[in-house]
Amino acid sequence: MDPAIRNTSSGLATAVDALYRDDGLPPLAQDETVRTLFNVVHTTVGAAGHKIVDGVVKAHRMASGAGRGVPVLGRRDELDVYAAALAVGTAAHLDDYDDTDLATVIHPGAACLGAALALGWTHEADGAGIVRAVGLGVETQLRLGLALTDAHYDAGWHITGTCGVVGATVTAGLLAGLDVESLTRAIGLAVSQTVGHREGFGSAVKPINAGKAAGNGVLSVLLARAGLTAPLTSLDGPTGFFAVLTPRSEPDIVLDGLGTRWRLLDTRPLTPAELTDKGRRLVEPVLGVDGAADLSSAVHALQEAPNLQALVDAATPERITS
Amino acid sequence: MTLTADLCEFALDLRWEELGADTRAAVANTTGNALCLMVGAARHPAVDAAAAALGVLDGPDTVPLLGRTDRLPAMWAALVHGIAGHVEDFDDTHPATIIHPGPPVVAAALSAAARTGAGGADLRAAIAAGVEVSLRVGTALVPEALERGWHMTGIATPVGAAVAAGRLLGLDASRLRCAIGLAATQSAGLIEALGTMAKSLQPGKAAAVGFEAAVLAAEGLDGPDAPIEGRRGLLALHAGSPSGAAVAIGGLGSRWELERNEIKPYACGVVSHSIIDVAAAAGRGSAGIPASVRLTVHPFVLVAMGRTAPSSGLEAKFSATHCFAAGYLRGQAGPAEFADEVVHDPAIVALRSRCELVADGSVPRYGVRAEITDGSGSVRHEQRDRPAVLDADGVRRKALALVEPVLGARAAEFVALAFAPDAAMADMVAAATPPA
Repeated sequence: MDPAIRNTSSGLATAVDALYRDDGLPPLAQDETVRTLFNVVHTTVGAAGHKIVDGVVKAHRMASGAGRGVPVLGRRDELDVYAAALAVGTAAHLDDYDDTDLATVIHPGAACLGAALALGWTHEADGAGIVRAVGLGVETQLRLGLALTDAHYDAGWHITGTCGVVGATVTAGLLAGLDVESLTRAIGLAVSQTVGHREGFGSAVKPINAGKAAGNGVLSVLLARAGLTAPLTSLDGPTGFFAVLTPRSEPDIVLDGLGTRWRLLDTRPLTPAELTDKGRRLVEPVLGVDGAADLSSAVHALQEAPNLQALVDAATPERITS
Repeated sequence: MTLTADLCEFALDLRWEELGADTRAAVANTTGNALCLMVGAARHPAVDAAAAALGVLDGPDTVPLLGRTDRLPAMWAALVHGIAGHVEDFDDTHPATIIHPGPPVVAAALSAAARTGAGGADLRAAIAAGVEVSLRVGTALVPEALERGWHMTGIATPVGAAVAAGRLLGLDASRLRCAIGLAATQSAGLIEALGTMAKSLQPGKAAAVGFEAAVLAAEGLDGPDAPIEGRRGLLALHAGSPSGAAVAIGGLGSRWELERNEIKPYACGVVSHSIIDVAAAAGRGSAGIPASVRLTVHPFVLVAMGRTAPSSGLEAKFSATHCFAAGYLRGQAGPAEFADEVVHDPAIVALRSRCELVADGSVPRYGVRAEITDGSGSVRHEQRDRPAVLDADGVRRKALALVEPVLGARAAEFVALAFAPDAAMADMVAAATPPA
């Protein structure tokens, strides 16, 4: 193997694993992650009844009964972990009203939220763990996006899908408790499942790209946990992610300052008041006025929550009967 | 440019009874070979791992896994069947594109047919459409996509799998176009994965996402008008330009790329098959092992098969020097020649280390020029421009050898059904159940 080749995937897995276990997100990064979650939870609930999400849910409906699956935020359906991630990631990005990192044009929240709800639910993660796993998945996406440079998006790739699948894998893998070696393989499997041509903008393909990033992240974790092997050089090998998906890359960006310099802090399009108001407008038609207020409170309380139950309850639309 | 629309029209207009004998025979071979590979690899560690991983998933209906006793939701059965069909790298190759179309397209078609109860000519026609579309798309993608480092099977067959599944699920032309759009955006998979299970995940995923795209399109999800040939579509992104679209469409419906799909005689990357032919010929009647071997090959062989010290069977499938050693010492290169213990066999290791690979752009991609020097210093020169291909009997013998260890006494019955143009789905699935 060429000695010039880095081992970015295992470096990434090692770093995010340590940051996750050692509570390594500084308060500012945690707060920003909660803001990201607030935004995509609300876009998800707002779009959960859209016909595209209906189609995803019908295509993947479960044969086994209630109580066996993951609740889909904003709906009264349960799906398996893959389909729940797909449906939530799709809904989160559906109205193109989610978060945007201006440097990379990535909408990182959708894929990580889908992955976090699915495996956070089945692994009964607490709220602080969800926030850390999402923060690290978002940070991963932004760093990969910067490393691919503008040339990647300019060529026509939907960067939310291509980088999103790796970020979703990080989020899902941390919540599923993968060790570093398995998480490295999961990243390798995710790189085999990149998604997204911008040709699909203006059709269901665009939100599906984000949903697929979430679903494929979950899938990568399931397959890695069961022992599927993958190249260690998936990101930086001679025919790896950086070599193939962009004409120009800066792979060092992925690991440089990871854990001290937080790229996710660069995403600040709305003031807190604007964000709260946007969220309320999105979900009131689904949850009603009281329900919208409860959902807002549930997201803000997520850091202290013992699990996802309160958030899921607050996002369930039957409450509109009042 | 209307490539996607033309492919949809072609796929839905295709009638099995109107196909020529050669076309039907090629479809039967591609289908039967893929089905027998799925049964043969039913207990491969990659298949066991994927089936275990996906066992936690749920779906509207389940499909029995060929050669096994468990079932999975239709989308995930497609994924496992796609892995099983490809994991031994023993499937099929369309030489002009290096696409292995059989496993992903057949796997997607099986899941769709299980849902609708289709079999016989309906199933074969859907596979014919899916394989031909995959190869046409691939024709538009080479050589640029290959040179960039894409795994051609991963990027060209999701669309073909969607076509096969979509036709079986009864999509009309407009919905089939949406299914193609939903599948095309998921074209993925890098050459970097060669030598690991992530490689066979790529045809597995192609089958699964092709099937899923057809189901999502049936549920009303839409897609772009030109997902393949559009400005930011499949061809532009994976090959750098949509300029190959015109080539892809030429003679559609009258000239069949699927007739050029070849059944693999050896269980490894196809660009080293000539090396195995040469090695087996040199090894026959030769007492000792060579002092040195110089193999001059196309530069792509070093990219795809340049591993000189493979540590596992899957890696050895991408080691041209291992292929030479196995061919020379064992006279063949089936799945057994890529077992982990053969990879570490001292005689194989010794001969592998005496082989040198040299890149030369004047050698054809599938060819080799070999200089084999024996202990006394005399040199034997061999040259092949392309490997020998299996004849019809060879294809059947290969199929039977694959399924016998899994199905025992029912092996011949399954092989007959797998290659028959009119076999009912239920009969074939029943015959693929291993004895208790």
